[in-house]
Amino acid sequence: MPFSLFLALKYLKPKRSFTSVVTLISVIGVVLGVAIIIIVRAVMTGFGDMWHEKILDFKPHITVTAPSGGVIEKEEAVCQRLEQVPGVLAASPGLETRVLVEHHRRVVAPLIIGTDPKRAKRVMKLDRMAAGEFNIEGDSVVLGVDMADELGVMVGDNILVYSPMNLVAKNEVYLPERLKVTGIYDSGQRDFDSGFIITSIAVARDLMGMRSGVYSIHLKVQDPQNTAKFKKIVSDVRMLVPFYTVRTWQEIDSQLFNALAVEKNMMVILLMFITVVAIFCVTNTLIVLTVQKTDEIGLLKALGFSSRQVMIAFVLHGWIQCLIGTLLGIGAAYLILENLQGLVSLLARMGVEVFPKDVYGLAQIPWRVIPREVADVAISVILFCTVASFLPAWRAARMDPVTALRKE
Amino acid sequence: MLEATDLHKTYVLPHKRVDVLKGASLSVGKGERVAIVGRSGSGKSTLLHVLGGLDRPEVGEVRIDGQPLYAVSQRARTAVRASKIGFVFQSYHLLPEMDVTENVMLPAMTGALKITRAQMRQRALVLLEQVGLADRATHMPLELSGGEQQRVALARALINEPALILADEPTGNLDRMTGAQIMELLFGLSCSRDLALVMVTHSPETAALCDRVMELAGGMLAAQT
Repeated sequence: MPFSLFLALKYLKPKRSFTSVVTLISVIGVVLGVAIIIIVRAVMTGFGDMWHEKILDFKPHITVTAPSGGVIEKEEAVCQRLEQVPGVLAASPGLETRVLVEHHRRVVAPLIIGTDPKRAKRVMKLDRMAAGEFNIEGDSVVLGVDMADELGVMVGDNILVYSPMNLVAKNEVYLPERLKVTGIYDSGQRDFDSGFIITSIAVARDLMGMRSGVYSIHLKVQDPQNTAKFKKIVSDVRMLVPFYTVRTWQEIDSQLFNALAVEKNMMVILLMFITVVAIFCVTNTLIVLTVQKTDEIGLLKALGFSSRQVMIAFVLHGWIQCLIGTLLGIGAAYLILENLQGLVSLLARMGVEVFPKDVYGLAQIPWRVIPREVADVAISVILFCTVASFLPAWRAARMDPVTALRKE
Repeated sequence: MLEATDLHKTYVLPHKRVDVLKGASLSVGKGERVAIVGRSGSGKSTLLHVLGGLDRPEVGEVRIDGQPLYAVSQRARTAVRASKIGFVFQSYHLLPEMDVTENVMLPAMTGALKITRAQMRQRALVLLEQVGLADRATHMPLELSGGEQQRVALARALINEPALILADEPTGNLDRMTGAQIMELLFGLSCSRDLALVMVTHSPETAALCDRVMELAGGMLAAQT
């Protein structure tokens, strides 16, 4: 073992109580800093994943529309052609418009999605039914659990759907459609569960006074989060239907995802400052140590140890503290994340609601650790630490042995 | 063995200039023991530091075995210090985090001897045996008495088999009896190893045991009659 490492380890030894307490506090500072960054990043990633998953389950991955508010005719043929594109799992026609829904004099204004009953199941993942089944054959409708609550609707009830065409058609009257609720879905996402009703394309056309055509074709693709694969699929779709507008799920919900990314980055930057403060604790420990060990440094130099050896010993002393702090911080982060739900429940029992369910609508706090992010944190902290250790180490190394030895 | 010629050393204090050494010269042969005496503040410790390559004089040179100390780089001077000079201080200066054996091994860890860690340990244990502390090898310095700590410091000064020992009041912190024991040990080891010894002391009895006594006064060294 090189002398510098030997000395650094000796200085860490908790035999000299004062030094060890200071060292311990520094290490705890680094542990907390590292753990907090990892936990926050993991929870932010978990939230992002949750949004992605919910959006990708409910919404189409690619939406093909006719330009300038036009209509896509022969939608079945277009769907079949689009399904030939490698990577496209399913295509479904869509006719969306804002309607008024009334039940027992309670009125809401959701977006109605008229779609193909058979194809819709392959594009929309609505397998979490709170009641009934996903059946939009004939004059049937499926709606979200929050809207059902709002309207006081149960499976088997009828609702009245008023067409928006009454507002624009001057010589025609569009009678409300009486639709039977066959299923109530629970996507776990309040926006989706309160803002949409799903019915057949025929019903939607009746409401819109259309005889044929749809407004859009919705596509479900394989692995939509794989950027490279997804780009290829989008490009193939654009080549196949060059006259139509093709929009991706990221483009449609870009604001949400940008906000999430910005929020995550901001949190990391702010928390990094906390860690830098923690790292300064290590610098502080080293400064205390160099002052405390002045005569020993003088002795070492008198005995023939070089300034370089002394400097490396002190840098290593700080570096080892950071390494230990970082490793313990990573361990602590995993431990806390694994028990996050328990901790949040404990806080809730103590009256501290960290994630109120009615605000966040979450039964569990989502989290996911990305190993590369953990590595980034570890490398940055150790790098900062090494730099922060240099100043006191340099001070120790350039100490004049005669002056140091006189401080007896 | 040790040749110091025309050493000048000045300290510049705020509004004051102190000429500590003003042409001090000293020659010490192999195995010779020289005591340096003088009043407090006369510059004895400074002289010892200059002789040991720790404090560069403004004028003059120090040679160890013909090798100049100050005409070479700091790295080379450090290497000479590690391999040829052993230091014994009044305050022992043992590292409290290391046990007795590790303290003795310290100078060998500079790499001056090019021996393995096991060989260093072996050599340290032999030296501890010679200074009568074999049974204290695993003790920590703070578990030892002052006399025992100085013995450890003696063993430490010898581990690199230096040709010269520079001792700065080695008995200054010890009672008369313990001091006498340490001196007996130091002289015995110096004799058996044919080591040159330059020792700063306030004690006339200790100085009288040396081959020569030099007095530092007015920045100059002169043989005491």
